[in-house]
Amino acid sequence: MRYLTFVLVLCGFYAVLSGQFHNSFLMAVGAGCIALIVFLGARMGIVDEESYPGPGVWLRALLYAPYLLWQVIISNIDVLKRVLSPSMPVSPRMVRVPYSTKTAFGTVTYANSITLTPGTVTVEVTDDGLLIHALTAEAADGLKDGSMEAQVKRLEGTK
Amino acid sequence: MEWTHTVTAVFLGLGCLFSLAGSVGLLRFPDFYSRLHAAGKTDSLAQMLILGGLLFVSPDWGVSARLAIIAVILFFTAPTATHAITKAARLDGLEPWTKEDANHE
Repeated sequence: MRYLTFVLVLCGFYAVLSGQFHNSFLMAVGAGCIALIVFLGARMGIVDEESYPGPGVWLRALLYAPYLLWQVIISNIDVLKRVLSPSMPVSPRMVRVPYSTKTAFGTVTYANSITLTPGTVTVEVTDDGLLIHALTAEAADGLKDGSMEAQVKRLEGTK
Repeated sequence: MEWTHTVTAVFLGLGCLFSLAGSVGLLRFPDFYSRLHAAGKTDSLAQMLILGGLLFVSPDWGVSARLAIIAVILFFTAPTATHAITKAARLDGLEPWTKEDANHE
């Protein structure tokens, strides 16, 4: 079932990127590439539950996307303000923030979301927490209230 | 001028503004890690604004689909790349710059 989805996704990718349906040589090459990619994917063992999660994750991802987009917009306006203000109000620091996401997928999403949100970049992920570089003290405190973590856990389905 | 052109112009303008802010931040911020804040964050929004703006003037669905795919892939890879660079700096033992008062909390 996962392999079927994989092949269909690759077919769709080919169709969108090339837009070629009339040249049988190109179609054959496309089919050959798809076969090769599926073979390599199987050999690497990456066609698993994590790459092809159930429909629930997709639905929750749709809910998570607008929240993340909004965070990205706030984050960019924040950078814009700091860059353009003559006094440049930054006071960078490193903080360690614990995380409680259960899956690798959830932790990666959390770490990447932190990078995209105002004033914080994830430096390192270890078992006992995320090492965050924050531009300001407020940015560091903003993470500790855990609102983003709650959003990611909702996406993960563990909450 | 058609309305689509106006929308595209606004999106491209905003995209350029954020992109420029990122570049200025790259020059103005005090150390390596702070500079990555400017560079890594503005990229993700600037590319979405620019590619999203171009969506309104794309000639057919194929071009639109390709633009959308590029935007989505960049959205995932940009923070990952930022993280990879920061982690490399961290592994090399680069200490972040801090203000005096930051250490006395």
